[in-house]
Amino acid sequence: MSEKRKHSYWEELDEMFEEMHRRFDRMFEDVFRDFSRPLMDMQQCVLEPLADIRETATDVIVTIDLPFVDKKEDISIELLEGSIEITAKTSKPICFERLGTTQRKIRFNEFRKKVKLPTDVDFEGVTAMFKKGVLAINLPKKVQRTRIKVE
Amino acid sequence: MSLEEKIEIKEVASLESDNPTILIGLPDVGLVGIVSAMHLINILEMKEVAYVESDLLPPMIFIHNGRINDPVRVYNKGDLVLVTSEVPVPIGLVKPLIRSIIRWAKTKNPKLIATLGGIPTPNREEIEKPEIYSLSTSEEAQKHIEKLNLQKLMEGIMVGPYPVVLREAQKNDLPAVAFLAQAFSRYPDPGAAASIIEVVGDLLSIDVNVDELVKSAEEIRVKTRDLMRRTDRTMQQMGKTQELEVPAMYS
Repeated sequence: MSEKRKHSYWEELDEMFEEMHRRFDRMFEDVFRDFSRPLMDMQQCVLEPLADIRETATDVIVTIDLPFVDKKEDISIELLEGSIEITAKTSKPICFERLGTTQRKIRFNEFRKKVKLPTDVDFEGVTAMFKKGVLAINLPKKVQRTRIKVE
Repeated sequence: MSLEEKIEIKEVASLESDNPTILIGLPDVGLVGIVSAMHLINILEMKEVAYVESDLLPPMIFIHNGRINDPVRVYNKGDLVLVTSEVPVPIGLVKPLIRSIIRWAKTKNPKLIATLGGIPTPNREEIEKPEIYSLSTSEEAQKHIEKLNLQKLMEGIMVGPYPVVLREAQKNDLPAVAFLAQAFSRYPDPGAAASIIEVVGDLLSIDVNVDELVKSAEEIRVKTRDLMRRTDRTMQQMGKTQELEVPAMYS
């Protein structure tokens, strides 16, 4: 009995450390991604939208700012292992006349963003709402509940 | 030498007023300050009258129409003076920079100092026209904005450059108010900027058209994404999320 409990305790601790490592990795990836490049891919003519991730006790809520996207039909959301990818077509080309130091004229037609999720989610219950240019995706957390008896 | 002494406001032209209203619009929640500042500068055709020189600022210039600009600049038209920045103020520079601006403002005998900012608002997308909240440093300051019938901020926490403006103005016996529009915290919010500009128009009894701002809202949202991301990072370093908390001591 005690051997079994000890084993499960160390397993839990291992899982906790693994989760901590995953979170740190994601944090550092985000930091370096943030400051290493602007929010656009000039080769593919794709813009990266601003995104926000919030967590409640039961859900992960991802919101994405999508200016120039008019119709929900132009938005595609793909659920992947540990992340979601959002692609949205703009209603008209977004043109930058003299972009950055190259001073190139460049047009963008699409937003694309991959968001890493902070925890496991239940893909079955995912819902999405698009209102006034802001996409809100609600992802229920995958939780394993065990009731503990208080002695 | 203190950090404050390493910051200088260099005047390039004289002010047109000897008793101006000084607005301060910096990158903050929803970029309300900088977006409204840019619109006011364009629509009122304000002229640059000063810039901030300091070795503490990032080594950068902004190029607009082939012209070189410093990151932190001061504009003027008639009785209106506007201080703005194209970079988020780094955390270590907030207090010395604001103290320098207030010290300079005092020499201009201001009628009122007003900050243009946003207040993070959950479910902002549900709000058609953002409301403006206000916070005054004194009865005298409150008298200036009484006619605007704004909701007063009665409890809460303010983090960033604007609370420093209020406190420094108060210490220097200068009347100051903070205007705070309901805004997206982490997305540029031209709608919130339009609401705050209307309040500025009412305050100064001038007509400031916001049609162009509303029309170009989507373009602004696209083109200010990088600044919003940097501002967001700076706000996180300052502990901006505390604004959503309840203060420990409350009345």
